[in-house]
Amino acid sequence: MSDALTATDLRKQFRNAVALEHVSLTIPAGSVFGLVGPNGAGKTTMIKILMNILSATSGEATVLGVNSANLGQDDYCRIGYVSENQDMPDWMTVSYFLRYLKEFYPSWDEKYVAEVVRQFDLPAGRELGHLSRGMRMKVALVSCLAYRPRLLVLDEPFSGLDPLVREDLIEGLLDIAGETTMFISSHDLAEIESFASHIGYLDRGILQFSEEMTSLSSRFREVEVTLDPASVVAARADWPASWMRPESSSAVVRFVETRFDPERTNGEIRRLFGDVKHIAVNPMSLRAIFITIARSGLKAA
Amino acid sequence: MRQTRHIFMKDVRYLRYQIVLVCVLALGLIWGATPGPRQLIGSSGPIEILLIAAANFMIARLIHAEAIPGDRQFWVTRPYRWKSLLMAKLGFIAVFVHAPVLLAHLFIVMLNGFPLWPNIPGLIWSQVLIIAFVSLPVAALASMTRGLVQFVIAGMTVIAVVYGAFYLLPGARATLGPIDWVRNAIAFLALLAIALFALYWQYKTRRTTLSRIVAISALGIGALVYLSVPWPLAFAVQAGLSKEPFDTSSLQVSLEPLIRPWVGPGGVRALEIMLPVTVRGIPPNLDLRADGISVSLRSTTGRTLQWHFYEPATDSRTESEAKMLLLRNVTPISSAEYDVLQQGPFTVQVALFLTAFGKPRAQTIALQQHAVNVMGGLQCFEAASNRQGDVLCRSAFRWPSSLIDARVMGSTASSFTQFISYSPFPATLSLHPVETRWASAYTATKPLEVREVTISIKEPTAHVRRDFEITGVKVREHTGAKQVYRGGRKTF
Repeated sequence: MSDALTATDLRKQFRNAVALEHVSLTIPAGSVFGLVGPNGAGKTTMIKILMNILSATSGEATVLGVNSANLGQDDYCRIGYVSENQDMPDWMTVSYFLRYLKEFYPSWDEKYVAEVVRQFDLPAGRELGHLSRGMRMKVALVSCLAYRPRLLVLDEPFSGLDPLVREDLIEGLLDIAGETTMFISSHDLAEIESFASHIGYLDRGILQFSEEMTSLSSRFREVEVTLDPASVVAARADWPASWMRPESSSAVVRFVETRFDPERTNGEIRRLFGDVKHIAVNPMSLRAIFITIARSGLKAA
Repeated sequence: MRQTRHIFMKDVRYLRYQIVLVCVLALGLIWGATPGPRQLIGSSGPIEILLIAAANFMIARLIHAEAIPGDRQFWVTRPYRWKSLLMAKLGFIAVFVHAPVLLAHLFIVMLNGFPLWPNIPGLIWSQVLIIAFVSLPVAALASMTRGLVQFVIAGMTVIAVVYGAFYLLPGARATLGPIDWVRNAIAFLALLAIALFALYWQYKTRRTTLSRIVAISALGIGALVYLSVPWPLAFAVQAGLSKEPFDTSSLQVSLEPLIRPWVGPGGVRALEIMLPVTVRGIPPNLDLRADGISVSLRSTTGRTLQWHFYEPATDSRTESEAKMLLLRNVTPISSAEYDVLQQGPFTVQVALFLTAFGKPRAQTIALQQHAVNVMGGLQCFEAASNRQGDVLCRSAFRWPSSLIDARVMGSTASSFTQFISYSPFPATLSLHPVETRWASAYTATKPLEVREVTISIKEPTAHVRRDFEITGVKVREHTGAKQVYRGGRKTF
């Protein structure tokens, strides 16, 4: 599988503020990549560099095999970009906006547009400036789905939307998943979790990790170790590096294992605590994983 | 081409109300300029201001529809071709700003009875001037701003800086008189180059910071060049363009300078320079006019004072084949300059810039209230406000560069010649395509019904510079009695 998107040592500095710090990542074609991270992490900056809206201070990125700094007319026929804070031509009606854009794309699918407009319940005659935020996002998404892009980049598409609209948008995205590579930045971890195949975590401009969703889910575990009451547990300075936020209280030790492997993790536990009474291993939601990472402030990769 | 047309049609739909407004104002321009001769003086001023404002507002909105600076515009990640976008914008300006103004000019010229074909160059050149001085700079400024608020602030800043420089910089307000067009040509080329570069660079690269830096720097350099164009250089350009149908070396020019500094009421110091000039060897049917003088006083200690006078006050008469010009100018001077002037003796250097006018033509017409076509693209008529002797003449797109006199039967000739320009271009920058001038040809002796006016025209044929150096000149304070030093006399 070829790569739809790559970034190599990407760095962006705005005067004294560093927005991205040597970010490298690879997104395979056909995948759904979720880029998550707290506010101000650099997600939007990264997307704008990939879309050739901003230029990188150093490093380079390729989008569908083209250097992102050279993206041109032909490339934008294959790329869709939807952002929560994109300025739209407010004076255009929904139908005129779609009619206007149609001329730019040879692969525009009129029938599909009509279908999605109906599915999204978009008011064709209303001006974009008079639409709610959710409706505007839907229009923006339709205007990108209409030409079946090979890459769809969405910057915070679900932010501040009501659940019904989110559901509509996700349905729209699921329709094209598989044939289109998707790059989605979002705070909404639950939504991302439901359909992302790959995930990346960006914090203060540094990409903490980027990997397949299944790999992430399998390597993060919440572990609770119950020790023999006779043994007293003190906080140890030599916790393994892969254990995050270890806590101990009387005969119980809790931590998040970031490189879970039943055999290796059990081995580590027994090496540190000897015979233990009980080991409970629980899978973690994406939300729990990111809260752990964010709070620990540690590199998890 | 298809994309250009598509964007163009979108903009037509977007700006349809502004288009209607500009067209209505262009019609208003025609209406204000055509009902009759009385309407021709200043009546369309408010419409012109409204038309300029409406057109500039429309251009700004047009460019901002696909704003260049910023990172949130929907269009930057759409398959726009920059050339198509730029062509669509320029095409829109051509069709909905320039075409209405061009048609308005055409109708005004035709409805006022000017012949069409001789005025086609003026019609086209006036559009070129509006492009270079108005529409392209406005489009370029809009392309470097994010929206209307930023555009208005930037525009007001540019206007404030230009006006500030105009009032604060020494010499900024001084014009080069009839050869001021040389400076204006520099401004024309500079503005055109800056606007074209900014538009090209913005649409191709969207690197707004660089565009702004280059545009501001180039404007500053252009302004400095504009302000520092010396009269001799401009005159040399003008002389280089003239055909000089006679050997100007045959002209013998002599002068006797009178230079006197004096202290006026309230301690105001001034310098009076009088140059009686005698010119001999003038070919028949030729007239002379002094366009400027440059006077420099160099003391024995090396201190130098310099003055340039453009279009100096002139009295002229012809005596036995000699043309006598009395050039006079009074200029305020500083205390320091006044002190220097007490130090004599001086070496006085005078550069005299003369223009010869020839090819005389004259035509007599009955003076009427409606305009009558006369030679040289002129129309003349009687001023409605004063039937006793005022003559109005008008021409399309610019006032001719010729000496023009009007003589009502039995009166002395009255001249239209003030503030003429020797510009070789067929139009000046104006939304109103007709320039009207007034000459008094008052005569109390002739009854109104038999009044006729003779219009005579002489064209500039040669531009001549003569330099003089007179040594040992002493300049003394004028104390009420006539204490003046008459400098040496030299003939070339």
